Formats: sequence, C-alpha cells, structure tokens
Amino acid sequence: MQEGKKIIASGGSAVGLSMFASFVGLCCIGPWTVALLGVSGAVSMARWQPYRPYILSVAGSLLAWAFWRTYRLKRVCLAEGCMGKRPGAAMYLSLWLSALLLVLAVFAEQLQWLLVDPTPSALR
Amino acid sequence: MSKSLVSQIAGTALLALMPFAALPADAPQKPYVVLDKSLSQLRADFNANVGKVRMLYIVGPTCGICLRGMSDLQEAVYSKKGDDPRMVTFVIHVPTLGAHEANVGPASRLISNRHTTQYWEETGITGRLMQQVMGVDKYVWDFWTIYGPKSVWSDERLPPLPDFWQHQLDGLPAERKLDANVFATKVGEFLAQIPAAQSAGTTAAATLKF
Repeated sequence: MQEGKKIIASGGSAVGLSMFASFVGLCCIGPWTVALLGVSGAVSMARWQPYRPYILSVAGSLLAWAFWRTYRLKRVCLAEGCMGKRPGAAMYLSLWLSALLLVLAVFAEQLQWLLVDPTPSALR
Repeated sequence: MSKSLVSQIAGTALLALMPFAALPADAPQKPYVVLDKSLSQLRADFNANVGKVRMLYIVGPTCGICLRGMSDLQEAVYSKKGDDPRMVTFVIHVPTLGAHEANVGPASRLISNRHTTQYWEETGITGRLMQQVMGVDKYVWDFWTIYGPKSVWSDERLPPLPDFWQHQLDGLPAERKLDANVFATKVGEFLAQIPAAQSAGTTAAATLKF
C-alpha cells in the first residue's frame, strides 16, 4: 500500500473510532438513543461506556501514527526529494480535523452536561 | 347487485367501523402506575410493605445508563430472587432528558416480576425530594436504594433516608457508583434479616404487576 493510503486508512480509522466513542459518550443527550435504537439498543450502547477510554486510546494511537507518517514524509520529501506525491494541504487539514474530533470525543461526556440539563423542566 | 359490489360495500363499511373496534375497555392495561405530585400512592405502597426489603429506584426512561442499570439489576438480583415475596421493588420513572409517559412502557420491561411496580411521575418531584433527603446539591436521579424491613415513610412529603444506596451520577461519591453485584449482595444481607416464611401483605398496586 502506498504511504498516502496508509495514512488515510489510519486517520480514517481514528475518525471512525472517535465518532463511535462520541456516540457512546453522548448517550444521554435527550431521548435520541431510545428513539433511534430502542430500549435494548440504548442498553447495548451504554454497555460500551466502560470501554470508551480504550477506544479513545486506540484512536489516539492511530492518529498519532498518521501524524508521524505524514510529517515524516514531508521531511523526507524536503531532504531527499519525493518519489511519490508530497502530502497535500487536504491531508494536513483532515488530520487536524480528526485530532479536533478526537479531543471532542474525549470530553464528550462533560460537554453533554454543559449542553443538556437533565432536571425535569417543571423543576428548573 | 353483483356479488363483487356487495363485498366492496361490506368491506368499505368494515373499514369505516375499524376505529370503533378498539373500545377503551379493550385497551391493554398500563404496565405502570401514574403518580400524582403528592406521591401518596407510592407512600402507601411503601408503608404497606413494612417488614419487607424494599428497593426504590429513580430512573429516566430514556437514559441509556439508567436502562443499563435496570438491565444489570434484572440480571444480578431479579433473575435469581425475583420471586422472593420478602422483597418489593418500586421503579419511579421521572421526566429527565425530555422523557415522556410513552417511554415508560418499553423501559419498564427491563425489570419485570410479580413484586415490582413501575410508576410514572410526571413532575419529577421524586428526585427533588430525594435530593433533600440526601442533602446533595443536584437533582437526584439514576439513583438506586434499598430500605430495610423496619423502614417507614412517616413524613408527609419526604421519603425516608435509604439504608443503602448507589447512583450513576457525576458529583456523588465514586465508591457509591452502581455495581449490580454489590447491590445484589446488599439485598441478600437485608433479606437475611427476615425469616424466609414471611410473605404476608400485598401492595395497593399489586394488581398492576406484569
């Protein structure tokens, strides 16, 4: 596999895992999990909660690898000239967006309580 | 008049009458009790079961973590001891996270046995009263309690202080996070205080069991 494809695959996996971890972390924002997945689906989703740190760790590792390869490729290209294509701006942009998504995923649980007040509306 | 025309008219008439076919008396009974703001029914049911171990849960019927808690307790407690007449369970569904009464039916299936009553409490005052009892500064829900056989709900409004409790909230002690196995062990300890033969007494809402 070409270097660029490897980086995209790694970054894409990190994005996928980050999104899944966010999904698990945001399980309590409104009744959406029950509405979308039903009661048993919501229970299954909540059962992933203890594994969030591990999912995020794997996503972080994949993303770190993608960053390392991308910037290494850039250095190699600068020093020795590139046989293939240099990583383009789109690659850097998508990597940094992935990193942002990962950071949001890490704090998804805390963020949801900033956005949503669970107290019943009659008592606010 | 041809046969097909007669059958078409009959079919149309039947379709027109379909909305009236399900009379209110035929409607399935709700699998839960609707509480008013005074919680008088809950209080009566609680006190009708003095002498038993009582579990009282305050949950949101659309909260995945609450639903997981119910599922875990069904597995750890009720699948093993659900038929034990010495214990009674009250599950109070409150309207957290925008939950509605329509959410209670599906959620209530997670804990189902003859000695469990599910309630829908529309204002959510139950959590506020429990907050006062516990002396904490946040609305109390996703909250799991055990009351021993001697506990009585004597105050007009406030429920008694639980003999044991766990939660799944941020900001309350981490060592009190719901652990279904620890909870089941505690239930067993409370049950050991009651002779196994004791099974008298039914709740006012006992007719609404699954």
